[in-house]
Amino acid sequence: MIIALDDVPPKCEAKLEYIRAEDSFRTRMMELGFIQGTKIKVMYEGVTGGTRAYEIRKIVIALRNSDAAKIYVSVSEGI
Amino acid sequence: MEIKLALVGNPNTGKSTIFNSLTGLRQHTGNWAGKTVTTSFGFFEMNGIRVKVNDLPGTYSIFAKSAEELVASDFILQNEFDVTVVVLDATNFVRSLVLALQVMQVKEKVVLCVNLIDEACKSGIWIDIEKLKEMLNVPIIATVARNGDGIQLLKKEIIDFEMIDKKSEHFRMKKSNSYEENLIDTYDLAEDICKQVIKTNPTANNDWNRKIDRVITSKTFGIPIMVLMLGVIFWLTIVGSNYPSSFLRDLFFQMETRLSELANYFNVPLIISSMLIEGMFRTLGWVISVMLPPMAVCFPLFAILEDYGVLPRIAFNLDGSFQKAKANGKQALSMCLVVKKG
Repeated sequence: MIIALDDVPPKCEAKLEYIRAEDSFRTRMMELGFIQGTKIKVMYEGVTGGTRAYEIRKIVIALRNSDAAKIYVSVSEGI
Repeated sequence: MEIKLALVGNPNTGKSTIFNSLTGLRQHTGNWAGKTVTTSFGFFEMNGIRVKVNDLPGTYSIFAKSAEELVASDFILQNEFDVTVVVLDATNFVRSLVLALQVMQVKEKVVLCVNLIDEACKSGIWIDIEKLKEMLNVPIIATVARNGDGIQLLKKEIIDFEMIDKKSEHFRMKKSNSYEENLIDTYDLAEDICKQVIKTNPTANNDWNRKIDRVITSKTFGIPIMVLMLGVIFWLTIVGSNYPSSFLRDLFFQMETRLSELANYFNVPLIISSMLIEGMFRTLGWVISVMLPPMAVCFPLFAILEDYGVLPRIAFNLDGSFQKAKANGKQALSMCLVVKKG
């Protein structure tokens, strides 16, 4: 099942499928390690909301939900 | 004879510390947008050879496009540097290696400097430098820049490049069709290399970090902890700067009295003496005694918070509210400083 990254529930792990956005955003994310097949784990949410932290390639990166919505990931059914 | 050297690395790899220990210059560089995005430079000399060291802003990619990163990529791609030193973060090796591999694709004389080796050890990461050297065929130096470990070796390696004019026949990547394809290849390769040269000992260290993060970003404790921390800093700044402030004020007041006496003694016309002494000198004295001590107390404290990664977490926590104001969580820091000035 493919959903947007900002819809993945907390503490779940997902696999990156594709990024649907303008080129500059896509390459930027790729430079940070968001490449097809990469595992992404949802870590925590900022106190005031709108931003979540994800663990990817052993480091933690914070993304706004509006940006995470452009990243599509696959999760196992039943989440 | 002069060697031109470029210093590249990801943000927060201790690149500026390396720069300082190489050149002996004191400087501060950060990557907050709006701060210095130009490059700084310094010199060192060894065996009669002068080396000009250019410190470039931290970047994740030499083809990157954000304002401060653009400076770095422009420099690497367009400027003629004799030697490029890539500073790698031993605690975040894959990402560092991606940058290093990118540099190695476009530059001939490359020295890798693996920094923060001590931090890596603490978190149970061990890197086989010898094996890495064999695989990449470039000079690699392990450093702990904070204590100056390995800096002399690094200098020697840089000089050697020019002395024997060796061209490194270092490892090259296969050509890719597009930048994105190249990025994917580079990442694959970096991860593959890491698997072979890194041994990890899964200690509790990283878990600890995550646990602390969980508390700092929790709904219940997040805001109180942040307010408390900033409160302590404000308190330290206000109380701590009172004493030097009043000392400086007294000092300037005494100097002003002396200056007036001196002016009287030489019969300086009143219009000039009052303009210079009561106008310019007094203002200068006030500004210095009021502004300098709070800054001297507050900036180092913020530097400590930055070192421990507290500021990004504050930015993360507050970003939600800032988004509503069409601003950025990073600006929380600027706002704090404005409050302080007030």
